[in-house]
Amino acid sequence: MQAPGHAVRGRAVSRRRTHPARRAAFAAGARAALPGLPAMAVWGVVTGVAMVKLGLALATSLGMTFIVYSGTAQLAVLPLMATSTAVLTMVLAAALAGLRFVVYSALLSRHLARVPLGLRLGTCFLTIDGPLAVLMQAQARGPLVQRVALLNGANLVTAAAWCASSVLGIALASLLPLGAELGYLAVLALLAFTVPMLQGHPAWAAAVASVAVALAGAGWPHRLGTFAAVLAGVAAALWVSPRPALVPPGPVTRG
Amino acid sequence: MAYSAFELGLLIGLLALVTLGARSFFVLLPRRWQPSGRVEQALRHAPLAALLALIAPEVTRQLPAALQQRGPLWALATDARLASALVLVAVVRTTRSTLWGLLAGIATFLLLGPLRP
Repeated sequence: MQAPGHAVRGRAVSRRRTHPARRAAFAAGARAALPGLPAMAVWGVVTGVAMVKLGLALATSLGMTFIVYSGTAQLAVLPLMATSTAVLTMVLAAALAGLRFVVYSALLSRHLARVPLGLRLGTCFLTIDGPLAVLMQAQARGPLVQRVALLNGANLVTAAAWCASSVLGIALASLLPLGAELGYLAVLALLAFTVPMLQGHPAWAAAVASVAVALAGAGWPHRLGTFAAVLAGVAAALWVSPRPALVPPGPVTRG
Repeated sequence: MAYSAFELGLLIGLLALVTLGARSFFVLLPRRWQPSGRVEQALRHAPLAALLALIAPEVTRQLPAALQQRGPLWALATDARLASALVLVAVVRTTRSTLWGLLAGIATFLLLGPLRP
């Protein structure tokens, strides 16, 4: 992480959308996002197949893909839909599953502080793992120029690849021979995403506590077991984590 | 699955709102409300706890029935959901590739489950 002053340089350039520096940054962002797209497309196809196989209508599947635009939320909600869980319970579960993005938003906040609200919200909505990694890598290389254009270049190709691969999965699902049991692919897709987060003692403590409570409370009404498991996992992680210093050494101080 | 068109529309709308809310959370909050200390630690590990809390019951969903039908060890070893999840975790951790892990998990699930001869 760098001091905020470094990255302001791009702002001296004109705000016109067609400015060459902005276009170059946009193209650079799009190019930098390309290597990550094939793997993400696999997730898109799997999500599309799982949605249709679990019985979602075409309009619902497309709505999930284009309006929700969150593989995590979609994959988390699918097994719950199969057991006819209440809508608000599912929304709450999706909010928990998407906590990763709250962490990301803290990383994004200093890059978007001076951007107009509409563009800021749109950029936030589209910024998922791949584009954020593009921004972080560019930041690690040196001063950022036109970082919002860079980010949105990555966002655009990522969104296009996600939607196209999901639609491919939706179309493919009707050709595949198997039925609702393929809905389990959603769980596997979510799990593959989760495993790399298992790093360090606090993470393992969170995992063990969360899984134990989730299994013990699997039969509790209103998915209370799930919510208790999240609390147990966070508590276990905090218990194992070293006590933070009074003045946080990280980059997130007021500036 | 028994949802009305209204419920499905509501679900999609609320999921989109939740997604936007999560992705813009700290961008919309003032600078001095950025997470630090214990809050930052809790936030760092909450995603893992939440995802595993959702995943774990799905992985073991069919174990109780299998344990009654067959012997316990045999049931644990041949349960498609559990076995594919374990294979997935093992492959992700050895290859450090989520993609290979996912593909290995899917293959294991299909071979032990729907495609078992």
